[in-house]
Amino acid sequence: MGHVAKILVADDTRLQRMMLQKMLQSDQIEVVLANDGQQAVEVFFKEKPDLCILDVVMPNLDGIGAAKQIVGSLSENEYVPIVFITAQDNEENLKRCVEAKADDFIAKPFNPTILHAKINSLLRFKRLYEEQSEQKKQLQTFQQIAEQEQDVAAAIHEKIIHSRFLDAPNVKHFLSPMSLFNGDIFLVAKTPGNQLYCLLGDFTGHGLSASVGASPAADIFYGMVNKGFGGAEILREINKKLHCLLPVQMFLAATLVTLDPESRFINVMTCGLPDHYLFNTSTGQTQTIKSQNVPLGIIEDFEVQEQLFSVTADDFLYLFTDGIIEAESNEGKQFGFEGIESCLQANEQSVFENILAGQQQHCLGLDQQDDITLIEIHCDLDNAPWKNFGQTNQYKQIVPLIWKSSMEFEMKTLQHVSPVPVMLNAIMEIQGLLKYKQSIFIIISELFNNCLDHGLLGLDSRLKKSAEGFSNYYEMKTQRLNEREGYIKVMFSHRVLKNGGQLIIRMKDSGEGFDHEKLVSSFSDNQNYHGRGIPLVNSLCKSLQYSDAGTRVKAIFEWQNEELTHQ
Amino acid sequence: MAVNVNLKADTRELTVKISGRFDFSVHQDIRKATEQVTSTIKQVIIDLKATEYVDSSALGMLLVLRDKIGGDKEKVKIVNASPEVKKILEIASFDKLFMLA
Repeated sequence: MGHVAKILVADDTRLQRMMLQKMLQSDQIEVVLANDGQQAVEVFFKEKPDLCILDVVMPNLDGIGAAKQIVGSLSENEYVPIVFITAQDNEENLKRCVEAKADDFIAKPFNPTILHAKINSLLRFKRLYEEQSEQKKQLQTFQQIAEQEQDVAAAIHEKIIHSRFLDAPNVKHFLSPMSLFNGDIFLVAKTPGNQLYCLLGDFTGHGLSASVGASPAADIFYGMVNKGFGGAEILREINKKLHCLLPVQMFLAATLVTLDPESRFINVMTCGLPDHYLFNTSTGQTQTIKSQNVPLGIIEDFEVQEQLFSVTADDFLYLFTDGIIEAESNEGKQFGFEGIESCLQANEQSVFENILAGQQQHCLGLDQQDDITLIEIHCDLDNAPWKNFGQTNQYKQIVPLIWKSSMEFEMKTLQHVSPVPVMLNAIMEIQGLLKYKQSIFIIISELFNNCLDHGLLGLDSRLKKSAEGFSNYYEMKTQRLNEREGYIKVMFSHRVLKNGGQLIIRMKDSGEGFDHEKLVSSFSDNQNYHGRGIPLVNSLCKSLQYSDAGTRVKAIFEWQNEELTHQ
Repeated sequence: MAVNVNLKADTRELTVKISGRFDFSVHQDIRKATEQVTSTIKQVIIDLKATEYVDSSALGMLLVLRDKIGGDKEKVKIVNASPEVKKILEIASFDKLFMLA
């Protein structure tokens, strides 16, 4: 069995060395010896003892000198107790020993019981000291790792927020570094149609874990805004993604504001953030906007409740996360909604600065909790000052391409899927004509349904004359889909025109044709439940031609990029 | 849920909200909504805010709904249509048959 402790005994008197060795040496303790102070120092470095017993008076180097060298060589985390052998009556000596960091004294003649008690106590103390040093070291390491992670998290977050951020002149924002670290995100972008979208979000969780969700949320936001998707669609998409990605206890409280210069409305979609304020500087009135939706990432999908506000250039919208509300004064009082409201009333010219200053005043002299996010959006839809800001590629015009694509659908397939949305999405993917989505949808949908209903299924539109028949028609359609055979072939091609393009849609079906002449006639009697489809297509297309007794149809749709100066 | 029907008991107002595509695929749901239109209903509101696109069968379904309430233009209001959907409704002269808001 190894020794638990090693003790250095340094004494120039051989008899004393032997006595101490005899008293101390055991299964637990190994004793190493030195004849004088110089040797004591050498043995100490060689043997690394846990404790030193030094005679004060020794040749070459005395005990005090040796102790100074030994203690001086120790690092911050090391501790070696020093015990001096001395006569207790020499006050001067005792003082010198204490200065040399003496931990204890033993007097001659040695009492074995007292000696053991002192040694054991000092060894226990040494072990405690070392354990504590080791823990301190570990803590420091953990703290360093945590700080590095925080830096990384803040950097990632910063990048996510700022890389594609549109610095719109009507939007002021303040996000403190601590709020970034706490998972607050603020994203701004504009659609090709010049609508401004602002998303403020507050993730539950901190640091890296919060950044994990921020990245896909920002990707979806910027990607979809660039393509001109609606606000509700974007929120639903972010929600779906976060629902898949985040652990149950994590979610994103968020608000999406869209500013549409054409409609003169702002649309506020709120998902679990504190109340927002819409403040009118000319009337001094404030509308409170309360959250209406579940925070994102909790439920699989939801229908987004939207709140529309008619605004003028006097309207300012204020958004914030809970940090600013919960900021406490030294009396433990929260800044609260009252704090914000009083700032709104106090000075209408610089409410944004007022709220920040008011909040700082409120927390005066306290350690800044520093988790502050405040957004001000000036609802200046008349001037839409953001329109000349941001990357020019957001104004990028749709580039007309030359391409062809054809698809063929068997009846068996049509029983299971409706291919119209698939075809529409394919066209949107290739050509990006989002602006014309509804028009292209109706053209494809009407032509395709005519091929199917009249060409393949032989259904007669006149069935739809009465409300009853209208319903019967669709029941019959479902039934015949399961009984008949046939196919529909669809071909799309696209050509480049000056500042635009031409989409040509051709369809052919295996049926016997139908009386297409009647269908193309205009909206003769607009009270009918049917007969509206083809005239609609006709008015949307440059040309529409049926041939081969109605089994073939060709529609030409033209589109143009708007002039850059268009407002 | 593609079609959401909500009846306000106090004002006898029936709101029909259509999400996604408004075409043949929702005709069963619209039919059920139409059945709820009885003589006690004062106003039908068609909310197209969440509607991505409409086709001609949707226009037919709207007309069936309108007839059920008596064919009165004032009684059926179409709200929140996107500019593109609005354009289609206008091409079909639906602004003469419905209140387009």
